[in-house]
Amino acid sequence: MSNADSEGASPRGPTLRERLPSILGLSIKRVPFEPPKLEFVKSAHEGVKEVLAFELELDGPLPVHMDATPLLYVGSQTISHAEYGKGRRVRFLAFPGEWERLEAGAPVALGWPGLGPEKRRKIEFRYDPPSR
Amino acid sequence: MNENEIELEKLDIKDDPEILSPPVVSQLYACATAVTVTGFVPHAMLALEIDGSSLPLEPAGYADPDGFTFNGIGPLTAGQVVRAKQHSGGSASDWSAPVTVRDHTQDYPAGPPRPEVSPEPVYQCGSRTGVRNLLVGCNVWITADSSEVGRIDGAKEHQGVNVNPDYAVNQRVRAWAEMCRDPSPPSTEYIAGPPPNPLPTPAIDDTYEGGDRIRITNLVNGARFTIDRAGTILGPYRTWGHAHLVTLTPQFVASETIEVTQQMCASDPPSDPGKTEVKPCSDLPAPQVHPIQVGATSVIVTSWVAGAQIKIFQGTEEIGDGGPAIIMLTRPVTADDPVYVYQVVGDCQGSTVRVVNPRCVEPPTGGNPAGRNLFPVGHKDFASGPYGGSVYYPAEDDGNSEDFNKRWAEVSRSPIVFMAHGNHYTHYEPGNRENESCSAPSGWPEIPNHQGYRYLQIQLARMGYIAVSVDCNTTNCVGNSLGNIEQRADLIMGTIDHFKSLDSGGDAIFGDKIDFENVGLIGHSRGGEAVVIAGNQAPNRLDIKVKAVISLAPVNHDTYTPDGYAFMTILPANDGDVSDNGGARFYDITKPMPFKSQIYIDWANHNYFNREWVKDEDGRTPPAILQRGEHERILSRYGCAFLRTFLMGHGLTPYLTYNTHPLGIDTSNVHLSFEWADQTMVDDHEQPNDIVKNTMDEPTSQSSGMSADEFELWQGAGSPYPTNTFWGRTTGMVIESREGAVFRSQLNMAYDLQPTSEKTHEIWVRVAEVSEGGVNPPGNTGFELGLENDSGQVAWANSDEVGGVPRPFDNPPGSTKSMLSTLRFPVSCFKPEEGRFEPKEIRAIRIRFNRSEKRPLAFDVLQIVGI
Repeated sequence: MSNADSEGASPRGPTLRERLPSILGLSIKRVPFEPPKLEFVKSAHEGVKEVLAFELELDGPLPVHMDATPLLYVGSQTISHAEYGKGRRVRFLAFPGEWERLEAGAPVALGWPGLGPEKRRKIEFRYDPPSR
Repeated sequence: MNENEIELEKLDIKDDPEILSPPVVSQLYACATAVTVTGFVPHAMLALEIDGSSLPLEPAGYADPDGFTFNGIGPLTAGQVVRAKQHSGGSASDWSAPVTVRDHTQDYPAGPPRPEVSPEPVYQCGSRTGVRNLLVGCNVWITADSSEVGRIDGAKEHQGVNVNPDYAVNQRVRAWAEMCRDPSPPSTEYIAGPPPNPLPTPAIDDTYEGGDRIRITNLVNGARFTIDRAGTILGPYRTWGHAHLVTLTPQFVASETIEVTQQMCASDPPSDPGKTEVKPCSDLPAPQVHPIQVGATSVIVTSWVAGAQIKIFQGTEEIGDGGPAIIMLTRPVTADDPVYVYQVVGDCQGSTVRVVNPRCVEPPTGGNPAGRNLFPVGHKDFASGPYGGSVYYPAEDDGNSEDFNKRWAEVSRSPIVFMAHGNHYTHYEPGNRENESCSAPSGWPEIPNHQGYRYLQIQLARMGYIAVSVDCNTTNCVGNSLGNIEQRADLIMGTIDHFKSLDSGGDAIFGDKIDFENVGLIGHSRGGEAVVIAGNQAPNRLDIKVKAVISLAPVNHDTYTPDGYAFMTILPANDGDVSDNGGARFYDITKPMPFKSQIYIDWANHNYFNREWVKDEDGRTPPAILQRGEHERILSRYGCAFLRTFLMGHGLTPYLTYNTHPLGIDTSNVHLSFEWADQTMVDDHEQPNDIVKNTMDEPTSQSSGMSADEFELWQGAGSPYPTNTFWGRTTGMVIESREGAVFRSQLNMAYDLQPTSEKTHEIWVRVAEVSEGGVNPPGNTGFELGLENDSGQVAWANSDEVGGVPRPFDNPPGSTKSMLSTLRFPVSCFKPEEGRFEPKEIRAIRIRFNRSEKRPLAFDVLQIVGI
């Protein structure tokens, strides 16, 4: 029998993209929106005065060093515009054109673009359209 | 012996002494006093003819490594025609292809290219230096501390120059060249450092009985080496290092031992001897050969034994006999028979033969679109309000804030390229570069993310571009939103505006130097979407012309469409960050203006294009991902081919359209999509006319068990395929069928696809094997494309003959992607079902599935393309 060592594959741990915090709290409301003041670029959001804000409280931080940061999945629709607040709060903004596509009762979850919504935890929140 | 080899004695081939390959004459320029000829058999006699006047025959020695140089010629004058032929064994070759002497300023209007010391660096006691990037026949010299220490008048492209005296420690060494008294810029300056101590042991490539030439490697730059052959010491020889070929007499005998020892400074000990034992002739292997395309007029040998003569047959006919690496053929390769290649060393004939089956489309490998080196490179950091970054530019000499290159400025304004990085950490721990942070702990330096593309900036600058990298750190470390992308675009446009003010405001370096009619943009990741916005909006806002945009591993918020410029996206299949390959959606929705390109790279990651992004985004290491250098070469070589084409008119799209492969890249990992404007679209499946009609509004039909339908080939669309199969934003056709099933797409008129002196035709189609989830099944799949003429005759071409259907990138679990790539089917590839077929009056294009294993295929953008 050979006494040579050989390379064995180690089980691969979860990658960064396979870890996401859970949503502890969610509030959805219409909020005023002011487009960014840009010197040269005409923003696609120019003229937008109101957006739908999904304010999330999480049990852990979201990574901010990567290019593609987590999306908010509302059913099969995604919301990408994210504003990271202090602590573990994050706000996703759905713009006109986006929010009309959201279906009442659709599950709300975080997910990575290209990987789909986080499925390891039970989804506790559903989309409840706010009234004006 | 592997499947691509066969024993010579099993072949019915016989050496034809009348067959000799025409040699190759290098490109020539006026004032040259030398002509280099390659491709001849060892010890051939070479004839050279200049404007019909023949020079005396010269014994040529070996074509390897850099041919034979006729010295003391001319000087040549522009317009003269030069050709060569070889004589050997009582036979003579045909004349080489004639080369017309050009004025070097036609190709190098700002003077001869910049010499490169190669290999580098140089050492104390070095006695010889290699210089390359030379125009053949120029004069080259070396200076040490500004004093000339060596010179060759009438140089080769890569010329060794002996230096006297040897270099002293800390001497400043440069190479210089001139052509027609027109000086090149000086090479990069090197400072002679102490040589390696101890010196490495030289190595000798395998050597065979009957040969007389050895190839020594592991040599130190500038060393002297000696050869010990049975106690007889030969040398010393000077070497520029790396590898060195030496001819010895008499011929080698089996089991003979040859030793090589090298030395630098006389006061230091020599190296240990490197040894080899001569192998018997029966061990002589088959040479390695680059894949061969039908119609090829030469064969590229990629590996051979020192001193080899290369013999090439197709079927039983000898079609080439010359010296490596490029052997011209006596006739073009046809599609009918395999090509056989073996080598002969002295009186040892190889008994093993390389077998190559020529394919209809098999691009040759040659050239480096990023390798053009004309100018020293100046650089400077800039800051103006919120706009900052670094700029590299063609300069009088290397260094910070050096003067702009005066010769180049006299020729033209410089195209300018702006780059934008993506989102990444902004600070790192002192002493631990891999520990990065988005906060700014006290004492942690800022990560200069914009400096990560310095290698590409330098490559562009030495070709004559101004290359600006924009510092976008102020937009980093926040969530990925369209607003963040627009802020980055604003920084890019503000930086463009800043450079406009430098150009118009009399800046000492950039005043009146910038060509804002030829602007290029390169963005990585979030920067890759930002350059789309800047490319769309900057022309109107800033009165510039954006001609080319490269979007590297971009995010994509599905809001902007690239518009108004040639577009390229580079997509890492193994992207662990932007894993949805959002650039594929940009490619799909972009109209070619006039061209669009997608480079999809198996095993490439997100981060390794930027040198400041020091780790893989998912903690992986090669071979799970490609090496960092391979990422950089792919961006440089394909990117420069694209930029040079659309900013300088250099016509390098063959690298982007599967006509030529760039050197130094494993192109089996690279899958190209490409499309020109104004071609004849047969079917892009975007019309609401269902599968029964094509884009021409002509009927389609399915027969013999074909099942084809149109689907939205994007993630989450309502196709029956797994969510992770398609990632673009296009409607295409998926076929599922049994062997022999046919899809027919009728054309709106009869097309004459016969070649003319001005134009040939090809059929282009995007195609992918459809992943049905999980691991790829073994083996590739394919199809045949058919041309049907007015009388119902059909000719077919096999996808395997034109590069093959790309396989889904298989990186389970859950990320197996089917990414469409473009296959080119030249009309010459189509073979009739029976009888004779002329490609005129073409009325339909057919797709026939030709595999026994049922596997779905996706198709899109079926076009008739005029070349």
